[in-house]
Amino acid sequence: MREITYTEAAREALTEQMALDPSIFVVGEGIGERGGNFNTTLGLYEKYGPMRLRDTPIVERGFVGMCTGAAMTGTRPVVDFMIVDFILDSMGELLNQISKVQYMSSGRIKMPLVLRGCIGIGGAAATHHSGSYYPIFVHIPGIRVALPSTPFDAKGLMKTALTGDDPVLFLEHKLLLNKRGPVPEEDYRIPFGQAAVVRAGSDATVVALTVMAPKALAVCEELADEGFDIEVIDPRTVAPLDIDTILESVHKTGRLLIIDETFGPCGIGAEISALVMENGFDDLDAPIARLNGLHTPTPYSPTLENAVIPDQAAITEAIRDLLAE
Amino acid sequence: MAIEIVMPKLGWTMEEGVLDEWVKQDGDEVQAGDIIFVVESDKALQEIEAFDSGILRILPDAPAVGSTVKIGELLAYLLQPGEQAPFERADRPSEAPAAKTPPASQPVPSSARRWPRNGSPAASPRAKRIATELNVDWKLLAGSGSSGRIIERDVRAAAAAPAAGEPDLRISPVARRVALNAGISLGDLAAHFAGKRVTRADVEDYAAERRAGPQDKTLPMTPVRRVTRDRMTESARTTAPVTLTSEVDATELLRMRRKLKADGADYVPAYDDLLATIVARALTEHPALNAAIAGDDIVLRGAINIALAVDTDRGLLTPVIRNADRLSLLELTAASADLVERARQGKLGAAELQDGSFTITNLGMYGIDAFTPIISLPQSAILGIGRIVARQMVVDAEGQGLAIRHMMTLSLTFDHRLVDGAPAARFLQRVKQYVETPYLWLVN
Repeated sequence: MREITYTEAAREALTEQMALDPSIFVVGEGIGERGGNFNTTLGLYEKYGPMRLRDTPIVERGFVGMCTGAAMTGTRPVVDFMIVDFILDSMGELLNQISKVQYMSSGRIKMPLVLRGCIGIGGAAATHHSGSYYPIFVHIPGIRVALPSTPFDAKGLMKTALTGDDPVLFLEHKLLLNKRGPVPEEDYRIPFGQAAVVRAGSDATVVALTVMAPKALAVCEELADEGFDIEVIDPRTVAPLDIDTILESVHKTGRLLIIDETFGPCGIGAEISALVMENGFDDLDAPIARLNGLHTPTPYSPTLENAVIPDQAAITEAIRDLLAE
Repeated sequence: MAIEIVMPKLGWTMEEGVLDEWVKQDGDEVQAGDIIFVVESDKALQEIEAFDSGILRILPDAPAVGSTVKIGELLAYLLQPGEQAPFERADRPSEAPAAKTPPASQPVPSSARRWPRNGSPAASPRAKRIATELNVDWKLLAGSGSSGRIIERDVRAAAAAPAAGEPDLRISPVARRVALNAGISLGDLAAHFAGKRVTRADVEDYAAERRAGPQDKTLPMTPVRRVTRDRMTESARTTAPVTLTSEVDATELLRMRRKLKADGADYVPAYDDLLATIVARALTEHPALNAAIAGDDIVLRGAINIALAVDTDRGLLTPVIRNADRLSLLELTAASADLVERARQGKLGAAELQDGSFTITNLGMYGIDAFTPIISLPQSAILGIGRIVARQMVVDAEGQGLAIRHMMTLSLTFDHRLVDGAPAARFLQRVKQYVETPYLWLVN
């Protein structure tokens, strides 16, 4: 199968759906002629023109609000935030309108809005360009959150986002953007709420989110040489969260580690821990472990930046600790 | 894992106590609930119970009896069989580390956020679940997880290799605790419930029995028992049974069986098979005995289906040999051997127990001569077979000649509502002739 990058895969999903569905349009800063800061819309302006690729001024609350109205009237806006930290300026629209409109209209008004942007720490992007924030949105009813970790997932999840009725946060880790991987040319969709077991194993379960999934996988392949057989699960979407796949795995292994770059308190790891404790307590052979980035604003200095994120060594140690419990 | 025995805190204000007496001595086996020692505090003498089972090892430098001891001070350990006391291990450090299988994991909690545990060992929820499934008492295990936690592999290892010195006893963890609390040794239970899995109820019954002597025991009826009850009651309530007995000379049958055996025949017919064959042939001539009542009608059954009463572990079963009158003796013997064997194994289908038209029951093997069998409704008669016994008999008309003959008593119970005494007697007489002169039916 051909290999393309993560960004190319997501862009392929977008351009294919724009060709099929004239109600799709993209809004954001520098996404028109420039093709997006991260090439998310490269070549689309030439294809679909300025009406469907609308550059905006730096006013997130304004254009998110307008796209909310546009979605309510039956179009399918895609808001490209470039860096998801900027979504915070539109929190009022997001939490108070976008997430609630379908509920308040008893489902008569749909909210097919895709909000996309880069997340994560890397490349000395400093503290205003390194956030992830998805635990906040998972807390809110009415929003779906997709965290693709491979080009294959990027295309399949973007297709699902662009064909559903619900608002979707489509979050792309900036260290994954140029990763290449096999992506089918045909149309396919990955349903939300369906985790991927990226490595089957029997000694322990590692749930790893977004950029941590390929990192954890690499560590577990190394540990396999020492005879440790670790199962690695990438949830792929965190709202909805496929807890059944995790529970099934813990039933088999008895041990669980959740690796997430973003902060630990009230995070996805906390939620998964609670769900496993509630539904799989008798399967646990060891306390559930979490590995998160440090609970601190992201530093600019590359040395310090590296120190706050879980690296290979930290992941290896966390898995060894779990096995020794 | 060694369990520490310390001077307990017996009241909010207690700071020290006097070690008054050791009730158990160094090396004694202690069971949960046993009194280990006696403490005198501000208030009174207090007996201190063991929370766990094990072997008591008193510290060599333990406070002397009569001395005052601060609360929390270590006095002794409870150990599992084969386990070394920590004070012994210190003397011989070379032996200690070899036993543990996992690579050196931290023996102390790795972080201050973990509370240290006292008393019973920690076990993972999974270990506890699997311990219940595998019937292992996890409290008696040594943990190989971090901080000595009992984890799945410890339970599985214990299940695979039963602890030394444990009696061969399958017992639930709850039942084990109940037994220990009631002062019943596992050895006694193993002897009393040989091979059976012992539950809490078993232990409680056993304990009550030991206290109060033999007691009545109420058992639920098995399904077979309930059916038997209902059918016997119905028969006793509705039929008008009359039993005729007749002593018959079975010497020819006995000879026939001996000769067949000596000839190495594949199937040597049992007496039941011989009688079933004979009765089936006699019934073709006496259809009134192969009948049923249906309201104001009498149904003469078209087929002669002989039901054989078989004693099984589950109770009395009566598999049916269909069209017995059309089977050769050999065919009938093969069919009945198969049915009886499967009846004993509990592998009969419901259809194989239905549609009998006449029943044969045999108590001869228990030394019974004559009895009054109960008719199995809706049939109209049943033949009881008694034992075969050698007797001195008069064999010629003048009463001059005596011979040893093998005699058997047949008991025919019939339902007088359908059949009168004379026809029933004629049927029994025909059976008697067939028993005494097998050529009469063998030629058919």
